[in-house]
Amino acid sequence: MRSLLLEIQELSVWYGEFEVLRNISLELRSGESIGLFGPNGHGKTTILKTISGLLRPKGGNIFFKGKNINGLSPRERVELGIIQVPQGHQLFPRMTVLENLMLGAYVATAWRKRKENLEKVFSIFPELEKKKQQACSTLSGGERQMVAIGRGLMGDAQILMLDEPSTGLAPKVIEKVIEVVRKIRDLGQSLILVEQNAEYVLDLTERIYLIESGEVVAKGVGQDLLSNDRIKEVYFGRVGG
Amino acid sequence: MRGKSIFELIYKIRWLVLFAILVAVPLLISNPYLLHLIILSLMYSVLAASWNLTLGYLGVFNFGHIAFFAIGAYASAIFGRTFGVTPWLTMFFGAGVAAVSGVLICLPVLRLKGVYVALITYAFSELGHYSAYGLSDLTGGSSGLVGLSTFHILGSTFDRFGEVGYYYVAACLFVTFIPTMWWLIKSNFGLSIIALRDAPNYAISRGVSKARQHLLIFLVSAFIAGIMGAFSAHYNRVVYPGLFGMGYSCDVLSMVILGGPGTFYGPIVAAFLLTFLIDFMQGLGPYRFLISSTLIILVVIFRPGGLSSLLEIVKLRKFKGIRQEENLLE
Amino acid sequence: MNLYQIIAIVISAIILGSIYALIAVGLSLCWGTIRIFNFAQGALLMLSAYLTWYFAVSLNMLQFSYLVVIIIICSVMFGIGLVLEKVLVEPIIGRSNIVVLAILTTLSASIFLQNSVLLIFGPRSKQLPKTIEGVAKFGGQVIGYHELLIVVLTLFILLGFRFFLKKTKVGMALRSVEQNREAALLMGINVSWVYSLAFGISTLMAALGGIMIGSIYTLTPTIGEAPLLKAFIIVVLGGLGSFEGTILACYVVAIIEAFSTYFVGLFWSPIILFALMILILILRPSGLLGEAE
Repeated sequence: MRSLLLEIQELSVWYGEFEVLRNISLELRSGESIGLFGPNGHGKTTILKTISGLLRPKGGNIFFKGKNINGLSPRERVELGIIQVPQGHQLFPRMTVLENLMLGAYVATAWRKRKENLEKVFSIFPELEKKKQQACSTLSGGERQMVAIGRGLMGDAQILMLDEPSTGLAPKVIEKVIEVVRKIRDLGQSLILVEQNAEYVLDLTERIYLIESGEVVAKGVGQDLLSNDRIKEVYFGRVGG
Repeated sequence: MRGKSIFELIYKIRWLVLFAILVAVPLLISNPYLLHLIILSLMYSVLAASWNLTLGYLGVFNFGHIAFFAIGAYASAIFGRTFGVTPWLTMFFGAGVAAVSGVLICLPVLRLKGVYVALITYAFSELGHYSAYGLSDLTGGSSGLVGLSTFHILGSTFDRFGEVGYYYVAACLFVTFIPTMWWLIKSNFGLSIIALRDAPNYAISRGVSKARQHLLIFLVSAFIAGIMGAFSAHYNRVVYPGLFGMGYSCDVLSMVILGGPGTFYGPIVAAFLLTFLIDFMQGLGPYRFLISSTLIILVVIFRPGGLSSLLEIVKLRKFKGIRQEENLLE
Repeated sequence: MNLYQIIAIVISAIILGSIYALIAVGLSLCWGTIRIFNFAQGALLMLSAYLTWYFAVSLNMLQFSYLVVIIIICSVMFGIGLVLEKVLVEPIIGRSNIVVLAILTTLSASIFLQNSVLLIFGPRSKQLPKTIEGVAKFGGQVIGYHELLIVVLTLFILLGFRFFLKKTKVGMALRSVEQNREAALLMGINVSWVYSLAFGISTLMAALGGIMIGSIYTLTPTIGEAPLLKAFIIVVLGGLGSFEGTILACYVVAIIEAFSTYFVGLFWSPIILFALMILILILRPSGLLGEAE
């Protein structure tokens, strides 16, 4: 049985007077890849933000390798190896590709390994090496996403969290992104993947949590969930418009 | 439901009670210095309330309001001195000039956002400061103008009766302008301002004109500040460049901030409190600027709602009919 | 007006513009990183000049070296900047109306500093000595060695700062906070520490500017007010947040100021600048070169 890397117990998060996450519990084992699936705006990104320390929960606990990290700052969590590739790339627009990647290795533990991690990233995304001195605001959407993922890889992550890496991209680029995520996963990286697209999340993850209206409404292994009515409703509901 | 308590009764006729108190004050207080402080308090409370109109209710980052006060003071003084007109009239001239400058500064303010408004209004009052020093032929330069004429009634000046005459002038100004501002805020016009501040797109779609609002509020608040400035000029019988200065501005600003910008009674009460407090410290001279500046910092950091938010903790809130007001700094 | 006069005016503008550059870059840094406008910049300039006077003249430490005094003052002022950030800025970080709150706190702080200095040092004007006495003469123009040093020094400081921003890890962190604060947090950057650093550097710039101004003009407690206003005009013209635009605007404003002083006298030139500022803001509310808010 693989060790428990991340455990979230009964998390409750509020935006002002609104409870946006209620009673969220989930777990991630070492080397596992889990998916957070569900419709837009229902709390998936909020969960990631809380794990990264950008938001403080009103109730509940987050344990990383058995230790409660509720009181840790975002910086301390990155130092532990909790790395997020946020939604919408969130690059530093006027900095070059290289600078963005380097910032991914900002914390001391990752900074020491920055040269070798950079080589790894360039081997995965050779296009980026060619454009490494280019400012990110001049890149295409697909290239930006690659930089964003590359930047996440520079952080020497214990847990890598990807927030909707495929959204808004052209099909060819999505293919590439999925291939990269699959490769990372196969190398043993523990992953949390947030996705709206059922096909990708089923393909890339071992277990899925279905998040709706800020709550975990279903969870299970991909195959089991395929027959789950809620997933069908969400999946077909989206397709149906 | 409880029966009407004595406090509720007083609240209902509060304007009448206040009026009675105001009339009675000089009959009850014979100490001229105490009366002087009350006169200053009345003056500052109207000034602070007028600043509150733009800073608090309109939500404009107006950091130059003191200039209107100073412009009113100087204009009234210069006009009176040049043409030998009585202060009763030059007061309105001063207020008029201040009002015009209010409209003038409002125009760029309309076009700008956020911090740029602060820059422009700050620069405006500093420019006034600078001009007061520089146009020394007109303004008396760094020493200002002294020995200004004061209020006359039936041929004799108010000095004859100690502070009492001035007190009633100040009280009249207070009784005229405070209710005017109250009415302005509580009227439909006032509601439209709050609407524009809190939900601009909706308000505009319902026909609220931002330009008209701003111009009117700037006009009124500058006019009121100007007239109080003129009163100050003929009460203290001196004008000097420091009236434009940031130190003086800070004094009055601390009244608005301490009272709670965007609330009505807050700045008025704070003006009284601070006038007495500052006088208590007066023996320390320029130390009072240290106090008012520190006060602003403390209030901003710890209780941005000012006095008004403290009052909420007190029983006052339980009374029927007192609406909770929106506070700008919270 | 002949060529000699024009060159003389331009020279004095360059000297003035260099000093403005330090103040304006500091303001721009605070705005870019922390998103606040530091109204205390002028007072900090003044404070630095007075402290220098105290050490250099009153304590007569000049006997050791002006350089040593300057280094001490710079360190002290940097420290004061860090302290002020903790007191005036950090408590209000995260509040929705942080811009106006910061104006209130920094404005109040400047009043506090001004009046403190007035109380401690008295209203009589003082004078900071120049570093090098004497003038250089060339082509009919005269320029003091000290003033020349100021221009050269400022150039080094600005270049050094630019180097710091572009080539060092900390500088990169600073830029990242400016460009995307939340992403910077996700990189593990200590944003709160970056805020302190930005404010400290900004104060340091003001400190240097203060020493320069105090050595050219007479030192009074209000010496910081006029440069602050000019700096306001500069950041409006150059656009908040644009480093190059700000530097350019410094010299443009200095040139306009120098020429208008020549033509309409010392009194009217600030008024002309003020009118210019209003004009620019009316035509282009986001400044001439800056980002659209």
